[in-house]
Amino acid sequence: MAHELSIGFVGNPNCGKTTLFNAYTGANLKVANWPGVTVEKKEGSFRFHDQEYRLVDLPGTYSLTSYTMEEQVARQYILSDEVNVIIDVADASALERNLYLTLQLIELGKPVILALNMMDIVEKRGMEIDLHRLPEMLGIPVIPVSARRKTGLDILMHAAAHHQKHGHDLPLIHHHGDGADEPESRTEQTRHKHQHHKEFAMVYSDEIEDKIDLLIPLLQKKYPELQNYRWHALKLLEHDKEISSHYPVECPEALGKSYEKEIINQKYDFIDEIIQEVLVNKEKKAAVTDKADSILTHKWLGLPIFLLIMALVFFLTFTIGDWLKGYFEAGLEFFSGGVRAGLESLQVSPLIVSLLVDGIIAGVGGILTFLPNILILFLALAFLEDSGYMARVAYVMDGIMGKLGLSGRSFIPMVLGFGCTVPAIMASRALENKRDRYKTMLITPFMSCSARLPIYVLFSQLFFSRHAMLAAYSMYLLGLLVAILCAFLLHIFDRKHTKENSLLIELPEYKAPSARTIFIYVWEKVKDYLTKAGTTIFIASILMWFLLNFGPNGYSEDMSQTFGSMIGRWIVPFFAPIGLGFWQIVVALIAGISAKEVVVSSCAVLFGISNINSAAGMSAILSSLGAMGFGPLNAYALMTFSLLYVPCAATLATIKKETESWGWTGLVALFQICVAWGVTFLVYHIGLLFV
Amino acid sequence: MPGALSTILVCLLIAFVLFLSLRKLWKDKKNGKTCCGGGCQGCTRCGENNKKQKLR
Repeated sequence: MAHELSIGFVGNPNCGKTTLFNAYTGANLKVANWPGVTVEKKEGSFRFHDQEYRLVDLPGTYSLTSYTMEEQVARQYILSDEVNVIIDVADASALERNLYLTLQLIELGKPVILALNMMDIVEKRGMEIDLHRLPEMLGIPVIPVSARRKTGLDILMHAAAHHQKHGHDLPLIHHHGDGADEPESRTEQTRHKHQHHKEFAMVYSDEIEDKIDLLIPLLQKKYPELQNYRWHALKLLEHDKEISSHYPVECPEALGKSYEKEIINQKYDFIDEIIQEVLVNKEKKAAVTDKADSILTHKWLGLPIFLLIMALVFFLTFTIGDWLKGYFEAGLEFFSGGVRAGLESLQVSPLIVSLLVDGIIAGVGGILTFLPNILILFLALAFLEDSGYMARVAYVMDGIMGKLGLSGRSFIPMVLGFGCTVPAIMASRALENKRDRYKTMLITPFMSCSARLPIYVLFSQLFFSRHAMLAAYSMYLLGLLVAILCAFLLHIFDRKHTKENSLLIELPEYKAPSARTIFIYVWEKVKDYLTKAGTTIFIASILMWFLLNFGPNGYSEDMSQTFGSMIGRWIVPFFAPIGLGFWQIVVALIAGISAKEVVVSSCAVLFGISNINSAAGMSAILSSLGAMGFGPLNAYALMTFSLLYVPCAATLATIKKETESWGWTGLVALFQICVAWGVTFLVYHIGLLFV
Repeated sequence: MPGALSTILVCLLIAFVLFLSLRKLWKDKKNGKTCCGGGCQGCTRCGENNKKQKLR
């Protein structure tokens, strides 16, 4: 058996790279971080014809400059000895845009294969690509594939194995500037003096090639261990920060100015040549996408349509989710009752029975019954993401965000916050301006993450029955509104430091979401949810049980004599003005800092409900809350406070990691508490006028 | 006696599961994984870190 072949998948965002990667690896993949940075690294492996393949899915990137973390990571990996072959996945239906990265990859000097993905779309549009001419111009193998239809996959891997063994490049047949084929109309002045066309796919103007020729000997002398001197010379001419700092050379005549623009322009000139030669019946963006975008990204209709789509997502989450939830509730009821009966029959200590049934099963089980709602939510969001719609949301919001001193790029992390605040905070690093990044980190936690959904589902169904969905949806709108208002206020106070950020975003074409991609994505999220239930929520439920059953005098059946009660009563005065002056609710909110779902599991433990989502459970908790004087307005205040207060511990840890500052992290927490308190105060007292 | 034995066994089971949970959280923290298990729409920044190397 041949040794393991390591293949890196590179490509522009939305080129189908991940779909292709998943087609090979399936769910058999490992998600990790690249060393030292929080950029995702996906690895998978599979076997094909006695050959082991290790596939690495590199971050989607448009180029290999050193501006963003993703570009640096991709470039470093390619230059390392870890990779044997690079598969450059390109969207064949948008070849022009994808070839820039291809040319950069070829210049890196490693074996590269161009996988032309989405060939089915090319065929559908009546376009044709000259698959004989394209490899001649690039000097690398070109394999047409369709990741969604799973065509060309075997050939691609076969080509990778072959290309790695028998390397190097294919013969370059270039008609541009080649002395032998030059048209007679060319003069001495227009003819290239550098005849590299058989050696390199990309040959620059004489001016640039002269500079390269100056730099290569200097590099060879100073850094004899380097490989690919031409590439390093090009990077020095571009004044690439990373290469210039690691491999400086003294050559003022070559490095007096940056040639980055010229190099980029000449690459695009060559791309134009390639397109003219290889692409037949080149077509503009699909008419369907254009028509859809004329409505979905409309100046006035775009935002209302987005809000309507989110409302639809909620509708599905509540209706289908609730229907499925019934089965989970029944299962939990059966399990909980069975465990209690079983333990009692074994004469296990009542204290331990209480810990297991009223603590652990109530807490963890209570959260697990919300899994259907979470599942539907992420199914819907994955559908919107994979269809290409989510990219439009950032574009639509750019106009509004611009008026608040932030660009639509700030809204991309905020949209991620609908799922989870942690990656949303990390996504803010895409903002180059540090102040914008920090401002985005301040307001992103206001976007209601999925972990808060169980709180909304429970309390809206308890207190708002027929209007439950509306009450829950209003939380999402409120979060968005508070985020926008806070951004506006920050803009007012920070106006002189505000720099204009332009939004440059690729809008992928609309397509039918891939069932496989959505399945793998949702499955990963379900696994995360179950892991959280088994770790954080499990531990929090045990802690909560202890706090609510033990006091200064040991075990206490009267909850008001326990540690939990003491802590809650001590802090209650802070919460009383905002309609949450109930020590049980205070304890649940404090516990919710570990993970928002813990608010619900804590309520289950606090009120002694083994199945909080069952009809009996909900009736019992409603009765307990009612006896305390907790009504619909208090419930809405609770939902509002849960929406806006301190983000969960994982988010705080992420903010600390991103800002490297405890001070800033503390400021975010304090800011959130103040905003939560203030808004809840307003909501509660305005509500009192009507109740 | 049977009750005491059952109680001890159940306690050991709970302790064992608690140990596994704490170990998982500790390993995740050590490897740089943040727990965002509520599910992350578009999560591309989470995972285990096998090596602690700085990006040069």
